[in-house]
Amino acid sequence: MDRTKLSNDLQAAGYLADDRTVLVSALSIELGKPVLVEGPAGVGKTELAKALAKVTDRELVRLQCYEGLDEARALYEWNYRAQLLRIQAAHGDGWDGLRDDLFAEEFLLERPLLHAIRSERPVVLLVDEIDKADQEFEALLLELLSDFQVSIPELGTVHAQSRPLVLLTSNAARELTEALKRRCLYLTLDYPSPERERDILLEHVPELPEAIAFRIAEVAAKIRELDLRKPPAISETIDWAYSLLLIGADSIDSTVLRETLPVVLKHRTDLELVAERAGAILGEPIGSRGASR
Amino acid sequence: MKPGLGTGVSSAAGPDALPRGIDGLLLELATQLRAAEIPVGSGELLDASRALAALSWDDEATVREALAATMTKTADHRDRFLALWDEVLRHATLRAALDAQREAGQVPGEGGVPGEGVPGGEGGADDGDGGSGQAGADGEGSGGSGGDGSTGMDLDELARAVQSALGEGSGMGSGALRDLVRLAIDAARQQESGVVGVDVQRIRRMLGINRGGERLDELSDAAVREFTELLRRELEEQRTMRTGDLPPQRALQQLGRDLAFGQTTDEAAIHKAVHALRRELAVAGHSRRGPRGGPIDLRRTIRASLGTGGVPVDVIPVREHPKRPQLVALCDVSTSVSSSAVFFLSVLAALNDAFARLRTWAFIEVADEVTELTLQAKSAQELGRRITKEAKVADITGYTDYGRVFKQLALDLEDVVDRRTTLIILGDARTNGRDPGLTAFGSLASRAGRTLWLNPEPELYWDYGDSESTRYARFCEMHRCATAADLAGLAKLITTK
Repeated sequence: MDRTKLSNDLQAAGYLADDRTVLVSALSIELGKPVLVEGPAGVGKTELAKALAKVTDRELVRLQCYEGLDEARALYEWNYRAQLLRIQAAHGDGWDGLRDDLFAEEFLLERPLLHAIRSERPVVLLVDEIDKADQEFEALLLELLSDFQVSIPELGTVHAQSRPLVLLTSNAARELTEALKRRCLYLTLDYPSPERERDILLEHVPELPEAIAFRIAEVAAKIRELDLRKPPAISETIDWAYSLLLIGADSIDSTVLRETLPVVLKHRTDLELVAERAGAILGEPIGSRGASR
Repeated sequence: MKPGLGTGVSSAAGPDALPRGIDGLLLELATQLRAAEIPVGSGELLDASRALAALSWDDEATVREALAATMTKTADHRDRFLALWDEVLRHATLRAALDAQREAGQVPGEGGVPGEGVPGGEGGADDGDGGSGQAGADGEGSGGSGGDGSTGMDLDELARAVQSALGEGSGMGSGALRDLVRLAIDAARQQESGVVGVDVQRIRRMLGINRGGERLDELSDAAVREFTELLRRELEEQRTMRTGDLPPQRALQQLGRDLAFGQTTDEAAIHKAVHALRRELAVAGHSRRGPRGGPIDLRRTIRASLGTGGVPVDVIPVREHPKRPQLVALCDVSTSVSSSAVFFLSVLAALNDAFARLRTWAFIEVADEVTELTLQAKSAQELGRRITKEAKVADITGYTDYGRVFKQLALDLEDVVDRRTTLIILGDARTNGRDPGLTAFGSLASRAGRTLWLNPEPELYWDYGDSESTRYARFCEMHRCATAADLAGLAKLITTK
């Protein structure tokens, strides 16, 4: 299992991963265990799945979870409307012939989980924001993750042809069930260090001069240290870099900061807080907030 | 070397009973993690050993992260794991070094050439951390040679070197610090007492870096702490190699890390109970498929049946507009409930977790909305601190004035509370002799779909003194609730209307 190669491949796919992320991804591929990725919003959890799909040449199947997500929306559903119309169009043909027609592929609405299992091409299954779904859904997912097979009463059991690479992301809004956590490897993603964020910015915005990329990363790190309702995500710092490039700013002073802040912060209370502390944010050298363990 | 699990020996049988090498490390680690209330089962241990089998053990970070990924499953557990890791690893390598020494036929205390013992030890303790594994042997090594060489070094020179190394901004690395530590130990060898704690203090005094020393202000606190820790470890290791006795493993509490440990089990229990409560309290906010007791919207159902040839397959219920909050919590934060304060705040935090729409008010004499604080606070303690700091709840006396609060809230909550809301009050109903505001409370409770009062006092105390519990209980369902167990019991008592 070559971790350096995985790291380079991820970078080539546009995702700058730290050592821990590379290690856990490699373990997941090697051991076939799903990965539970936790972290604040916008640190690259979903991007990791996309990059892994590119690197391992698998199809990315994404299931976005929400409260009230159930089997019909996640696994499969019969298109009963069409089936009813089919029945009406049959005009009293025998049941046997009709049954085969009715429970055929054309009336099966395949949802992401079934698609992931039936796919001939190997798959990366991304279950996004699992903490938004409820416990019943977790039980369903658990069953799926243990056997990778689905039983459709009318069609029989469907087995996965290849084992999907599964990533679950969570914003840690609620505690997940023990059984689900036990099945997974655990990875925390946190906001990157200024050095790595600079590299990420340069990767996504190549025309950006290096000095200002580092400055953006520094200022973003200082902003995240404040008590914000929603700290800026990496995607927001990238947007910020773009906007600074567009307005042709070559340094960040308080005017530039004030003008471009709405790109980075999306709550009025946050904007006010940062505007208040603008002097401290811009003036001080970077604190001891280095790379986390 | 492929690790397999040992023969299921429990490390409670004593360190000598642990299998050698990596298996021993894993089992010891599992024991320590379980003691720190991290659930590590056989499944996790198997995953951990499989993960290690798939890796090359180049460096400690790799092994550590692989173990963390397989054995810890929440951020909290991970923090505790990291706090324990160094200690467990050190202990395991010390044990391995001792075993190696014994195998090489050396009796502890002879202080023979340790260099030969180590390669044999490496075979048995192949856990990838050659550096730390060497430490035990090297300590002996430099102890052996240092005895000759260090007498040449002047004590004052050494003290000055140490102080400059620990000064602010000197940025000396751990390796160099460790060398200084060994030199210091050798220099002080004659007066060694054999008790690690005493020797640490003695050497610190000798170097002028002890507490109350004159030069202490110029030194960086973190560097002094690191030096002391290295000193302690080095002395322990040398003592271990000399006497053959393993020092006891320090548990998480003794490691002096600032972890919110010990309260978390309660919080977990509270979370579980609140989730159970949620099912009972859930007022139909979002529509579920199919008619769950709600009236059917006939017009829409027939309209939809056109798509299925006149057969009404989808039964469409009358749409409810869930704009109002599902849950409104009012929490008494005065000192009379301070012993239950942490419990109540944990309940609030858990409610926030379980209910999508929750608005919270804290009150003593005045009520103030603390929804934002509840959303942002990451723990009950932090929530309590922020409420004390930021919420305007006290006026003059600091004693709860239920009457005034209810009168205020009857107005404030007019638009907030409706028949879809559940109102939860957390308090002891002690009005301090003031007007209990029963009319105002009655009107609030009647507007809400359901009102629950959680009282931390035992039922015998209700109405004792200034408690107006029974009078309030006329308008709401009052329950005794002071622990997570009570909360769990509550969920069973309540049935949805």
